[in-house]
Amino acid sequence: MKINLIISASVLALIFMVPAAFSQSNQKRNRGESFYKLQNSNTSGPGNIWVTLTAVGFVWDDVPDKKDPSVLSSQKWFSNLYGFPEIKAQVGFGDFGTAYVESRVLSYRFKFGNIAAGVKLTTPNNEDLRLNGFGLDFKFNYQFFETNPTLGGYYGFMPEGFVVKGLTADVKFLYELDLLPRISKVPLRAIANAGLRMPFRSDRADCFQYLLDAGAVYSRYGFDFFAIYTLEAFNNLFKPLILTQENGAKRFAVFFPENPMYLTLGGNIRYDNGLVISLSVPVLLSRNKYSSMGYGNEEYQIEREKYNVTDPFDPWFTKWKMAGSISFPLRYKKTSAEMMRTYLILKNRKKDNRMDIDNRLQEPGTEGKSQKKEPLEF
Amino acid sequence: MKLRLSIYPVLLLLMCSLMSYSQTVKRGRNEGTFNISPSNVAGNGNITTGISLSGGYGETGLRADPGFNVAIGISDIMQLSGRASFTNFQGLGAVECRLQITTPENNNLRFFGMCINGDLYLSTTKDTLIGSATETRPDYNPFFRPSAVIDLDWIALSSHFPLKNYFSFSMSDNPDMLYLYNQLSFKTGFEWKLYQNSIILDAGLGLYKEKPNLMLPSGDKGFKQQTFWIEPGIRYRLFQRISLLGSLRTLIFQRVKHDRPLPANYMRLSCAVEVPLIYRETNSEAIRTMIFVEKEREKKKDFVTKNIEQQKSIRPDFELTFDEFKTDLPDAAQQREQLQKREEIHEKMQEIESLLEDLE
Repeated sequence: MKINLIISASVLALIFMVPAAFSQSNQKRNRGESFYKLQNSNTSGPGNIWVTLTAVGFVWDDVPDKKDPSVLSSQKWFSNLYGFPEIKAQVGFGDFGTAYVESRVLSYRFKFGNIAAGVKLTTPNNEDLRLNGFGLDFKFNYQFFETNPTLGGYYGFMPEGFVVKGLTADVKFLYELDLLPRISKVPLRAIANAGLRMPFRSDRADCFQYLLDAGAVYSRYGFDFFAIYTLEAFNNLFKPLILTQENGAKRFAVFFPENPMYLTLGGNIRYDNGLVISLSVPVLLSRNKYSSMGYGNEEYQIEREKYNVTDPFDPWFTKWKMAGSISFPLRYKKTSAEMMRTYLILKNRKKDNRMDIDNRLQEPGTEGKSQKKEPLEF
Repeated sequence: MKLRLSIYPVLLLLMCSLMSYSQTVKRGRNEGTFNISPSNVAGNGNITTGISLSGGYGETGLRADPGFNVAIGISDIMQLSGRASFTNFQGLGAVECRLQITTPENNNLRFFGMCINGDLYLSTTKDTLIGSATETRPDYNPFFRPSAVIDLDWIALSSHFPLKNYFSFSMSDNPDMLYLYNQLSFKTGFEWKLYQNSIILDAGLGLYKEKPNLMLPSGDKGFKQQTFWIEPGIRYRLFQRISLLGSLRTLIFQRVKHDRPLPANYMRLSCAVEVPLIYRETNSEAIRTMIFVEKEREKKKDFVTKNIEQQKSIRPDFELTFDEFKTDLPDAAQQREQLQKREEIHEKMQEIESLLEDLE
């Protein structure tokens, strides 16, 4: 009970009291920040350590017995809501690199999800607020399972995308066009990450994926908005990828529109002490092919014979997700580039003429001559 | 045990909220009625959160839906808010995210205000009828629906008329049914906005058109089903900042079709608690407060003058004029001077006492 109380108090203090108590004029900004999954091309700054705690949630049906009304009535809680905690820590080294470790600590059925380690490198002019930024990201990820809760028992097709049990490597090229240094009244950034995900397992060698994240970020002093397009595509742009599982018993086709594609809308709230509260809502853009046709359809039968598929499987990814995160610095030294960003943003900010009603009512000479701070009664 | 544990975060939230207790009422600029948010957005950086409980009786029986909502002001004209409800304490209900952009002059007490909202509804209702959804592979789709609100704040024109009118249009009337029906919603609200509390009356008209689905492949031709309700309510403020809301919705009229009719909800009783977690005064609400303060002082002043007049009329022999009466009373400046002198004397006495203690 005490632990629960302490956790509740700590989290609430972190979210609500710290920003108010340690409000400073010099805002702490992470130079190497990410917007949901979209990474900018910059790195965090030498010695800077940032921690991000994330929670991802969505609704997804995977267990057939939940659809039985008799089972539903006997259950107190029948929601198919899933929620997963994630943690990421990143440390900047030199003016050109950031190393990071991240993990989905808990996944389906309270199993350990994955753990990943990576490094982000950028060109040496990272100290400046640059118009064009370039970077490279290398990540090794270890996925602990690929089965439950896939629909129909197809390995790897999880609600949020395709995964391979075991080790995979991601390589991404990062590009950022930051308009702020050129036009200080337009704090807009266009960012693109493009790369490849390669499974190390030989039986999944065909399942490598092209990765693309592209988005626009509008940043002001206290908040950011972003819209991001995400694609994890198999090599199936011109013809479907034919996969066989269970020793050939299941043979199915995955078409390009069935690749996991998301449009993510989100925003950050920034506090001067570096705390960033972020909320993102990825919405699925992918379209299932065979189920949209209708399984009894003649067109479907022709397609089925054409590709010799045994099963009309559609990936059936979750249609929406919600991701909330809190990010804060453990060790921070301001980078010159972010100092310049803050200056340019503040330069164009309108002066906040705020009326203090309490002082106004106590000012001598005004009507409010009440000597003590007593609540007004009406 | 579980209940006790869940109380702690609530108490902590209240504690955080009450820490900045002050003289005047902490009224959020984004406070509206139970069903309609105003066109105004929360102050930049302000965070308001709330919990609600709605219990109703309809054709499907009794149900009670608790909910949670949060709103964050992200600039002087923008607000991001979210709301989640839990269907009958058994599962997650509709989740709603809203980005609200209002017209300028939001930080002044404006008579006419307007906002445009982008509402994203994340459906948690199992859809097995529409599109590619099947019984074994249901869909939970997101729906993007725009909405708009216009409000008229009459206190900006006349300090004696603290009425605020709301008019809202949305393409969602019941988020839980968005997967099956195209919807239009027209709502209006009247709020008699007092210094702390409010009296509210809402009314709404919802129009429903069934989408093409497995049961009805062609869908409805028009908005064949309509529902109209009214909902009176109140806002009562505790500790100058925590709002308690209560309302009762009554179905006045519902037109349905013969096949697959829309289930009617006859009554709904709702209550909610709204707590400003991070609060900085906004100019618009500060001006509103000043209007109430001025009005109250005028009232008091009128009362004193009236008393004097009465005394004069009752006791004409004394020939006591108001000016003479006023000179007999110490004014605030004199009182402050006296208080200051007393404090100085008190300090000197304390010094003498400490000197005497040292000598002993």
